[in-house]
Amino acid sequence: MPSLLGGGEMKTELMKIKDLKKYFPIKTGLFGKIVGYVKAVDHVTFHIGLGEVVSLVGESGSGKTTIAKCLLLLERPTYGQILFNGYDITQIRGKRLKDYRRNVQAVFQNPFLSLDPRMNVYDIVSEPVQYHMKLSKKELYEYTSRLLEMVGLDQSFQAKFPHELSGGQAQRVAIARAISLNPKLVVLDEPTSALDVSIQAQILNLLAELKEKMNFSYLLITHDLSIVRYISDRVIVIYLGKIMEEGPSEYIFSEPLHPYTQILLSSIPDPFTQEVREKTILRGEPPSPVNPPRACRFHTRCPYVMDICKEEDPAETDYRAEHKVFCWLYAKK
Amino acid sequence: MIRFKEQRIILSLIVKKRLSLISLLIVLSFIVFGVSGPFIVPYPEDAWGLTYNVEKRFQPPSVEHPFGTDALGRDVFSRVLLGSSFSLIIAIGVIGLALAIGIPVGVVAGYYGGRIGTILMRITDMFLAFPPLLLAIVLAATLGRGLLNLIVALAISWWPWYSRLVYVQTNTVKNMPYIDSAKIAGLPSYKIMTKHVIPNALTPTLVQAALDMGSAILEAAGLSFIGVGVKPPTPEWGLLVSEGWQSINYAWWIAFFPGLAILITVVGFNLLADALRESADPRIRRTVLMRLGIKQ
Repeated sequence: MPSLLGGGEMKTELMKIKDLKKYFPIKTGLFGKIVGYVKAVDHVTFHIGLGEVVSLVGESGSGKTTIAKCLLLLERPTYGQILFNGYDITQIRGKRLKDYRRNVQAVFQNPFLSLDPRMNVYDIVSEPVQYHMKLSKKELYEYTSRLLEMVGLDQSFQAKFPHELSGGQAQRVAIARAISLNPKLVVLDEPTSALDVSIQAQILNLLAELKEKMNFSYLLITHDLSIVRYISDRVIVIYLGKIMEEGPSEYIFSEPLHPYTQILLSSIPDPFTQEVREKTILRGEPPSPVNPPRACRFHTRCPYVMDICKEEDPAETDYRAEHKVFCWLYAKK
Repeated sequence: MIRFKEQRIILSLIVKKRLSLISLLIVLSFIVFGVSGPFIVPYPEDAWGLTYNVEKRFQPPSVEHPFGTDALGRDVFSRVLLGSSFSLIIAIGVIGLALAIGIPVGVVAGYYGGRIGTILMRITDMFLAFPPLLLAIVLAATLGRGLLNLIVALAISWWPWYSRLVYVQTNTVKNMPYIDSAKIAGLPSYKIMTKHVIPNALTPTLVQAALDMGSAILEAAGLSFIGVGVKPPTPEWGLLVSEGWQSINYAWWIAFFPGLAILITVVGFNLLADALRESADPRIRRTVLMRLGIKQ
């Protein structure tokens, strides 16, 4: 299925994540002795093109939110580089940090938690603008009104507080805040999973519409594959902190290579087919990221497991242009 | 966060329960007397202790002097009435100063955590290690007598409690997604603390502070009574009791009325505190509502 947002031509690279690692130390006792690490993200490399929609897909605990937090500099990575427009942002401070903040914004899962309950809609939306741009009171008011209009909220919402809004309206406010600085990248961390199904479509349409207008990139983080199909150009499947498969949306959905991707896709309900599809059901819980399986991380649950999977980490295999898979089934001999 | 509807329920609960209503009236009249005291005292010069009149000493309560007169012939009623102003100043001063120290320490320690947090909270713990009244007595004695010194001494023994409370709340608030939103918007730490953390973390501390008013008055009176509080002839309630207790055998009214004022005010504050706590806790509130037959 072609992406709603079109695209496909080669795009300039906006962001490059190189060999990103984030380990959280596990401390015990009075003096905080480190007894181990949660390997939330382990050697992850990918890029986001200018104006591109990239989806990070995986189960809960796969490290997708940690990647987002690293990109948003809410967590500093343990190792690796995050290049934005060519320069590494993992250690920046001061003016460059402020500049980066302006370019990279986010929308979170639950708008009622991500909006300050003590601020009204006007203050929430205008806060970043106030800090980054020097506008007069009148200009600020006009700017903020225009932002709210863009997300489909009229004047009457300005004085309301988050608890007076519906879920969809609150998420619109969060989106208005995120786009207020005209960012280059918006990280969408499960932007619709806290909303009603009927509202989900509205919010997705709004996000698609805004992207058309303002031409920013999205990094969509979700476990809901039906959204991914609808909105993204490229999909990255992640399991226990490692990339399993990466490729253009069409290929991932029409011809999934990695057994894990195949299993994930078979779990999407499809209203348009009558035939009963063969469902592969993933057994068991994902192993703990404190002590992940050696070699291929998926081998404990993989239906096609071979001996080599337990001994050696599969290398990157380029199945076709831009379609990569990390699996021994496709390794070139 | 207490919503508007909740505030109304709490208020109606306080008004509907007789004891709570009485306590609310006591506190309100204390504040009214405290504010208007200097302007309505019948004998202002007696009240401020500027004059004495030996001929009128030790007069029992009468129409002219409802609370009698003291050893220097001053009107006890005027002095007790003006005393409410001093108690109000002390209560607001002590709690205000304690909050002014406690809130920044708690917020900074909670928000940054790590080494800064540990250092600040260990300092707080050092203050908490002293018995609070004893610390206040030592400080007041060292600083010397006087209204300002009394307030400072009490506030220094008081702030660690607020700092602890704010610290715990800050730890909860700083992990909320809206703090992440503020960081992503690029706000500097001090702005995040003042605009987002403090407004969301302060409610329990402010409630506690309002409830502590009674204790502050009682402790101030205690310090004045043992002679390390305000200077005579300031009409502070504790000092009035201490001036009157030697003659309690033949002129009971001199110590009795300021003592009664302390008792009523402190009991009023404490009952109001209980009522607030009761109605702010949803679980207790339900049983109270049922007992009163109010539908929620």
